[in-house]
Amino acid sequence: MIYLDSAATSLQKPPEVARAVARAMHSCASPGRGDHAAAMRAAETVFACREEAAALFHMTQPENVVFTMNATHALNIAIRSLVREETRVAVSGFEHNAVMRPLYASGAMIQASDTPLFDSEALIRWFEQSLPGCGAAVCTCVSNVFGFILPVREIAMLCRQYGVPLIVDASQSAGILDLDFPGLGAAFAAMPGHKGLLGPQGTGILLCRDAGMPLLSGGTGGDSRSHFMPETLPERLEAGTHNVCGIAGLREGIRFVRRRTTQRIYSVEERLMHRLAARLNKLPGLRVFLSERDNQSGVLSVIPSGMSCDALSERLGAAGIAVRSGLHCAPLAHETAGTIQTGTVRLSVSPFNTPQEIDCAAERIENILKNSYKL
Amino acid sequence: MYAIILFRSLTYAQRGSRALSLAGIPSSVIKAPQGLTEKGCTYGVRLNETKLRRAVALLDGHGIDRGRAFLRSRLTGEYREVPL
Repeated sequence: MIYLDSAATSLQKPPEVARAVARAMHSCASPGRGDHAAAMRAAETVFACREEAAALFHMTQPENVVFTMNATHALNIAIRSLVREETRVAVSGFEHNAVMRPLYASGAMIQASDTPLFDSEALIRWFEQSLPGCGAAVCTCVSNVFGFILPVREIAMLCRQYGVPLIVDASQSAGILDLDFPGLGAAFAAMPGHKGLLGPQGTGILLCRDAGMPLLSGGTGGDSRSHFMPETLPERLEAGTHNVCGIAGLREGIRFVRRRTTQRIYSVEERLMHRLAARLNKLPGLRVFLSERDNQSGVLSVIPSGMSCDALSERLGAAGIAVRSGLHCAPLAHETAGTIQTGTVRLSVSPFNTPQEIDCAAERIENILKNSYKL
Repeated sequence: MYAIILFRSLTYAQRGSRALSLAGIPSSVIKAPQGLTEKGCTYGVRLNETKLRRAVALLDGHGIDRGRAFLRSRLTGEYREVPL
């Protein structure tokens, strides 16, 4: 199989990830739930992962790295911490349902940008006009549908200027693009462990500038006599037993990213995406969403004219090419880009893909399209 | 005799222990004895009593939030708070 669905989950991981998961399964108990060797080993494993994540995101305080189930869980905590009913919230027009649904559930007054796809300057201008009077802002670093790298640094600067706390959704960028969390000055950054950080599913991270509002209450292994969650991070936001095995794997994924560096990973992915785009752009009957500016990651969306996106995805799947079709849980991004009726076929690369795989996938797409015209 | 420095949480104790280790002060993270805190379960670091003053200065210098410190008598097993 040629796997081109890394924007959903990275399937190929460094082998040490699975080894660490298995090792933790056999040797780790619960962190903070005892003082025997297995509990302390679990505590050390979890703390070591916090340290790795803090180092990757330029943080000096590993306690401000909170482990969650996934990015959605992390975003829910961040939104609950900052947004109340009727809070005005400015969001980019490229947000995922993991952002939009918690915002709608909160009763917030949502303002979403309607600026064109890949137009960073227009988006910056939109935030500049919209931020005054807002109680919070949410911005994804990279669109999960189009790979559009949003100008988060500039938007964060505007948020600081207007005193608006910013939530960054780093789901598609963590482990691929450098994120200097303290430098950004955002209130929170949320990300999954199972995409660019190359960890197992069921892991996520919330980077916190300050303590947020707990989404869950329960045991934390400390402060046990209190009826309420502790005030201090990370325990305040980590009720219940950790996914220690997942976190052990995530630690190895992050270590791999740090060794390889995000600059090199991004460079590989961008090259692969452009190789693919160059081939696909020549095909008649295929609309390719490629930026003319230097602001697209390793995610490429296409729409065939002679068949549905689902049909193309299905035929590629049958030919051993794993891609994804549909709205990719981001209807807002499709409304912004004008693709809500059709959805897109998304092809997303990882640092483990090869140029040969890209050429093979492009060839299969070409063949499928040619055959569909014959029909 | 050995010393215990309490922390607000397991994570803070781990961070404290890591900082001490980097400064050449061996310590281990332990679950603190129940009698030393009114908060229920908490964690601390255990270290040689001769290193206590240096350790506290180092933690304070790094801005790592710590709690009270105790010495444990080898003879009686009792804990005595050390005014810092």
